[in-house]
Amino acid sequence: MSLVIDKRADLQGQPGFHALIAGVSWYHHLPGGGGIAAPDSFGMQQLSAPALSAYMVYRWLLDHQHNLPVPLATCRLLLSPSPQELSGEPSLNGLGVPCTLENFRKAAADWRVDAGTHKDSMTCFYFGGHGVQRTTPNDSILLMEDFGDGVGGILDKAVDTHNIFYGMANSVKRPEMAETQLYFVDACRFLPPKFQHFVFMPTSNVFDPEVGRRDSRRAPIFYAAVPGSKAYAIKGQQTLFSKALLQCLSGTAGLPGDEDDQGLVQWYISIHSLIRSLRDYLAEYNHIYKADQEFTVGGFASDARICSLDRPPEVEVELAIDPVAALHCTKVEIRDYYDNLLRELQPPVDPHPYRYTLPAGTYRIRAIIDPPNPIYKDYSRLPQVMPPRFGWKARVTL
Amino acid sequence: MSKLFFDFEDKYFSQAGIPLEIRKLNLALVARTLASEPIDITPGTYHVTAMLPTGQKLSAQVEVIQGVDVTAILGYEEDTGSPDMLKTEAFSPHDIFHSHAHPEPKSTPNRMATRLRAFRYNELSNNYELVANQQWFEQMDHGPSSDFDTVQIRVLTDKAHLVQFLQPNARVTNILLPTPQTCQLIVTWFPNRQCSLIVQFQNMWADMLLQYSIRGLFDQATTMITSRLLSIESLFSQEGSDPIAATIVAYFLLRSGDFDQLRMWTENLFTQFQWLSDSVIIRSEYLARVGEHDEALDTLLRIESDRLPIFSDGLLYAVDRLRLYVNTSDSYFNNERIVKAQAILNHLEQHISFVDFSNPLLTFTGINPNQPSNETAREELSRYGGVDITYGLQTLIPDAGFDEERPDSTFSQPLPSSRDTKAVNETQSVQVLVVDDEIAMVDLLADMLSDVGYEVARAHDGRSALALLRAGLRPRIVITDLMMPNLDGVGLYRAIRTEFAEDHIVVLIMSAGKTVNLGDPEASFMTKPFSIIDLLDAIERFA
Repeated sequence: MSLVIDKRADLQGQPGFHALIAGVSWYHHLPGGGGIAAPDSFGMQQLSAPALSAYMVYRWLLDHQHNLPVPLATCRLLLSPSPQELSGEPSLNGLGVPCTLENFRKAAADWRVDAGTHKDSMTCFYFGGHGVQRTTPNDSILLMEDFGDGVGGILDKAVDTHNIFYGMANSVKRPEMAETQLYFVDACRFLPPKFQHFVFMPTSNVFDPEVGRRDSRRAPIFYAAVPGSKAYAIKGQQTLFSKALLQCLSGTAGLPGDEDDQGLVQWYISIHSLIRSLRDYLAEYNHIYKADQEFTVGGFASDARICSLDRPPEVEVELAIDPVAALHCTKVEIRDYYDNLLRELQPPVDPHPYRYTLPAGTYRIRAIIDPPNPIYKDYSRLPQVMPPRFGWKARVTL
Repeated sequence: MSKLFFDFEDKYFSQAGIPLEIRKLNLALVARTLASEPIDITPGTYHVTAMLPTGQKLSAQVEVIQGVDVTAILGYEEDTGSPDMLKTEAFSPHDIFHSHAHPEPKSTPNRMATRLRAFRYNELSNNYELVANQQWFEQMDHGPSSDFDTVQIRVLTDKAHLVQFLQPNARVTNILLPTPQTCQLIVTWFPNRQCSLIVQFQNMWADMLLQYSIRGLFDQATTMITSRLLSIESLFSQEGSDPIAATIVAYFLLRSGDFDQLRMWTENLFTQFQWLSDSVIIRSEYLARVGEHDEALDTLLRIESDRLPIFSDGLLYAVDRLRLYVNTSDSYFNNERIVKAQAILNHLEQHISFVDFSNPLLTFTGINPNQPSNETAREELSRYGGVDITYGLQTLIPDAGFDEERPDSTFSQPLPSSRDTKAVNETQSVQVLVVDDEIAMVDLLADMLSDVGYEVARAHDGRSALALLRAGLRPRIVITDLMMPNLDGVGLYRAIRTEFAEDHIVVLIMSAGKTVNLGDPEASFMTKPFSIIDLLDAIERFA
């Protein structure tokens, strides 16, 4: 059964959060899958990270459900893990159902029914696995576990992201469809050269989209890859996109909101803050893992809150003294903005540059020349330390 | 209350109307505004931050005292410069709106040859036609900063609507230009000899809005559209209407889903600038989203006789929406309209496979802008004419490919001038032409043949191969795939025998399936798979 979280009974007519999460690493009919070989694999191989990545997204949802704008009501999980993932993460055993076309369509249909019960509900869709495009690069076709079974057309065991997106719009039949919908498509979007030989390659419909009514959804589609490009993964671990996504959702995409009566500020993550932060982190992981992945946002990207944060996010801070020659006589103080001393670094600051983490906020950072030196001066700033990172260079030269 | 004004240490930004955030020390948001718009504020200590489209920050801390006006002067945040820290992109005032700044100094002696050609849209023929003289640009100059290796060209868009970017053996890129204003082309060279091309709009605020929008900096973009310089009153005024800036605002509103504003913007755009495909598409997308599908489809049907949209987003919106409508049951839209919609969809989809969607302006490949393809430019760029910008203004040369007395000649395939013909005759060094729609296969074969000493040219379908031959290329051997779009291998073979019979060009057709005897001593099938040894043997045998 794909429904791994079911709290619908608790909602009592109130809005809820409904998730559909799928990850396919093991493809039965691709080379090494053990099944009858696909008539053509189009160069695709077994994967080793999408199912685990989908599981991590599921875990994040479970662990942060109290931070969601509406109570977590349902989560449907479809996983087709590789043997490597199964041995590395035993929790994957028996969790959810395999992501075959039939299972996916059934789970999606049920998901849509739940999503259609309240306009203020939220939905989340995540798919990790093989993805392709047909001859129109705006496509995003998601391949199910049974892709290549030789039954029907080539893309018979595949679904079209647009079909899901438009099928989730409100309509005469579903006037109460959730208006905040998040889509994460963690898959390649490249055109196998042989696809050019085909006139038309239909996918299997998940929904029959209707000509809808006013579509005021806040419904961004976060594509892990721009049209015509690939999405990457760290073998046996995690996709780059899910790694960046979860890093952002852990707090680094956080924004300070309004203050309450006590002057306390509630931090939150919104669609727009996630877009900005994802761009930064994907760029960083590209640099680390020598990839060239670039994400893009489709759908309707109006802003909405995704989740709140329990506390200000931790920010990696790096402090440096300039010039380095002043290290021997420069003491550093870090105070909160009420002037409480948080940290004092005696000269010489070691290691240099000095790195640690601070909760996001405003800090008074001082570099004090001690003992006084005629060629250096004290230095003080009151910077905003905001995620994801903060670097500060104390210029103490006169 | 006091008034809080804003300025910058670097005065370049003072004129730019950059969006700002003002926060308290506890980081609570106080206001978002533009640097040009002072705000009323209560006493206290505040942070003022500006995020540039490149992601780099400028900031200031300011103490506001009751009744005293104050100016926050923003400067660069002090970075440690550590390579381990998450970096925003390289930056200079010249490049504040773009990401293509590069820290390398300008010292690239051996640049990739680069040419630009310009095309005009002919309303009568619905075609892009080559602008045969150089009057489409106003000036050609090096960029303002000596730190970056750039050339700037101002394009007069009343003379040119599309610019083509040519580099040897690279895919030919076409960029649609916003009209009717002038715009700036900025060509930046990188140390690897490659270069990039950016189109900068005349309207600096619209340009900034676009950059914020495509980089996902939506808060800043939302602040930008509060500027009166980007208001309906300003952009649709009798005196100084600006359809392109208005289009950029409307696309952003579509992305951010502001329905109330969209209604007014799309109405104005559609009423005043119906000649602009983007305005038609934006209006139709708005109508569709508010559930007015009949009217949305009727609006979309106006695209047919219009040009392509200038922005990539427009193409995506139109294709997505049309696909949805043509798959809708006949009972909703009448069949006649669906048939027409399908025809428009087919027309747009013909381009969409060749579009680079990472560019906001519609950018697609192909030597003939009316027939997009994956064709690459030939080694000898001079055969195409246009403007050589490889070394900027210093080496500006006459337009080589076109007769000055034949202005605005209709584009066909690039025709060699007498000078070009001579060049072709003198350099008949291309011995093999490899033709395959699988680029990897072309590259593989061409590289292998080059390694063993052959001069190799490449083409990605029969039609582009034929175009090369018609332009004067005379290889000794053509190695072509059988199955290709546009013109297949056998079709190419027949065309060669018909048009170039006297040249005795050997044709080898690669096929994975059944082969036939062509009865031609200078043509043969090669059955796939074959080894490079087999191929070299075949070439040796015929050559």
